[in-house]
Amino acid sequence: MALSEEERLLFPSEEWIAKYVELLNSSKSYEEAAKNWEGDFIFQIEPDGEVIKEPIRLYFDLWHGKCREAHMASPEDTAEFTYSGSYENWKRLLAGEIHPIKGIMQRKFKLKGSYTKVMRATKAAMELVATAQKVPTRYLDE
Amino acid sequence: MYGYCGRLLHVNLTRDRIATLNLDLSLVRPFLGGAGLGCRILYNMIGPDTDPLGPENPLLLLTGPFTGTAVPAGSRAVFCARSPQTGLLGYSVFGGHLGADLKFAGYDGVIITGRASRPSYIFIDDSTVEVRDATSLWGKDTATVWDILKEETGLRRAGVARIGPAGERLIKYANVMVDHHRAAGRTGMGAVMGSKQLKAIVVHGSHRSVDVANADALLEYAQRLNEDKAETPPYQLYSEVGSAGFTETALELWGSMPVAYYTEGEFDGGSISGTTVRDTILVGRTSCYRCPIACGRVIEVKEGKYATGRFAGPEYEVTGTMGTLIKNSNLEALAFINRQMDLYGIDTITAGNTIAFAYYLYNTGRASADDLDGITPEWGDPGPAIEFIDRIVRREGIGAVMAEGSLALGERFGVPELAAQVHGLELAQHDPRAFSGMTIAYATGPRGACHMSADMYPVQMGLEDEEWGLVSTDRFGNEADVAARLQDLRCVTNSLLMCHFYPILSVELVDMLRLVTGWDYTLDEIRETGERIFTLMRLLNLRLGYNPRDEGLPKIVLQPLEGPTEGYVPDVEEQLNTWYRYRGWDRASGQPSEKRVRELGLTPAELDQPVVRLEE
Repeated sequence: MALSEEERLLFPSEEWIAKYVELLNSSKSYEEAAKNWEGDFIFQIEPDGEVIKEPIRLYFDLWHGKCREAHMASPEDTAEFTYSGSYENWKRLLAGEIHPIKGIMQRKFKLKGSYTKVMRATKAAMELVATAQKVPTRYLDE
Repeated sequence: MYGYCGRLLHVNLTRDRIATLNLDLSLVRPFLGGAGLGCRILYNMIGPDTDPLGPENPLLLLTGPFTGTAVPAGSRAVFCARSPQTGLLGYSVFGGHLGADLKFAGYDGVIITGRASRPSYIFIDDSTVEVRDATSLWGKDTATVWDILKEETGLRRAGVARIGPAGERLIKYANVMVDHHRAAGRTGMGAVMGSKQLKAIVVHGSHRSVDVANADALLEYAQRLNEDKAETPPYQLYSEVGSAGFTETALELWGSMPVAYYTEGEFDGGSISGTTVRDTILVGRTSCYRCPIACGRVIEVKEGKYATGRFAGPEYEVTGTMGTLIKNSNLEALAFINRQMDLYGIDTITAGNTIAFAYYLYNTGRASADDLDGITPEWGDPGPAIEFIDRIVRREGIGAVMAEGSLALGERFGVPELAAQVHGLELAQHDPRAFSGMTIAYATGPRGACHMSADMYPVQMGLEDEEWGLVSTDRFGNEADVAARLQDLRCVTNSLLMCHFYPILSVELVDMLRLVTGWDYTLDEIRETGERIFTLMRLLNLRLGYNPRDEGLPKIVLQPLEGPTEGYVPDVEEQLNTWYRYRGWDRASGQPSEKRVRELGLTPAELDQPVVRLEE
């Protein structure tokens, strides 16, 4: 049965992030895949002039298979990696239509930071997306 | 005249005679330069009776219109001849700076014919061109020869192409090492050099630029392009950790790096990857002329039985053939093996495949230690690989068979169908079970199972060129039509001599070609040019004995595997049918259609006109 609008969490929002972190930190498969990972991310939604007027940023501190901290980020926040793309592509990523690493190759997402470090963590990246898909999500343009 | 010098050298080694030829640029335009022009020139010079190791097989060294210009990563060069390994068209593109040096000396290329009466090398310093005695160099390895020739000629920065003992001994897959250990690796061009008693070619040009139509605009375009490309994954990967940096992703994400001679689907390759090289034995980086990526690694294993001194580090292909393919996870041993192969001058792909095949035959009980001169190649033990290399280069015992390649080794043990080769050329380390498009690349490649004529793996990873029709939707799908278009594009880049590691788009190629030559190229013309060159390669190959019934994949890669390839096995027949339909060629004969041949200007009457006329 489909969830009502109230039951689904708006992406992006603090509520969505909180639910995501809860699921991530209880995921054994993420914990295993990311057990050696050390590095924080800013996930950035680029303005498209329609739905997104200004960049929207989410901060995640990922450390040895757990998320230590996460919140909506300000323009001043920095991280080792910035992974950015349009809202449309974020929706497609969360729907499993864009592969998180392939998306960089296809230039649907941009990565700032060491590409090779991220490439070595492909399984962890897949688990990040798989977990995000479990968050009941509604979007700004729905 | 822009982008070209308009002149070729002809060095007749038999007669010790040197001449300069004019290159008619109206004849060049349809074939661009490099491999395309080489194929066109060879079309009038070789046939089914040409002995690849006889004096009648010419060896061409050619550049392209980009070579020596500001085009980033566009200064490669190519050797072309009939291949002693496949009997078909042979060509091998290489980096370094020799190509640019040749243009700076005032030549688009060198046509080498005949056979020297003694070991020789060709010396080119602007208009001074000589055939010099190389008797004292014969038998020496490729690094020693490089050092001696720089010293002897006094040209410390000259481009130097040279062969090692493998080329002298006519090992079928001997390569030519160039400059800072860049390799013209495939199709046995080193054996052709050896057959001519030609140890090396030394090139220096003092006019350090090439005239282009619009120099300022080209420079600005190149700078913008570099800034843009620096943000792309391939650029970052090759730059940061070299081509071997692809190892973990290939193994873990795609399953494209073959393991245990193509029979296993998973392996922990972290210890031999480019990232581990960076973190352990890397001591420097090298770059080819005008290349901002600098993928070349300089490594040093300081002590122990695998000590290398400062040398070129292992790149992706040898990390496959002498790493995962024999389940070797010892990086120092891998670096040592790579060095030995480079010093002897053998192709790391063919040699590595052949050696790995010996491991497979032994580990599956098809060959005993007695059959292998007492060597016991257990999976994971790199020691036997080093012994095999020595025996191959000395043509000693089982090495004499292995010196002919993996097909000969398979025939020796009654299993030629298991040899990982097509048309006599061994597979590169991109498994078609991970990227379906590599099926067409290997099955129909003009050189055999070659990844340089259609590198479908980045396309099927997601690297797109929409204007050229290079868009993949499923790495396990039948994308034979996409592979055909990529073959045409690669004919263009192998003729312009652009490095495939630089992630350039076709429209950008055309822009730069216009800026370099001043000619009014369009994308459509270049698309047709790519098809023309690919078609010409097929026409020449058919004349040389290319058999379309050999198109396919070896049995060894038609078994499903566990792991990231998800048990996928390509449907070769389906892909070939799609490919032939797309090209409009006849499947049974392998012949291009007469109509298309006419439209592309490749009729027998047109091809009978030689593009260069050599003096006797």
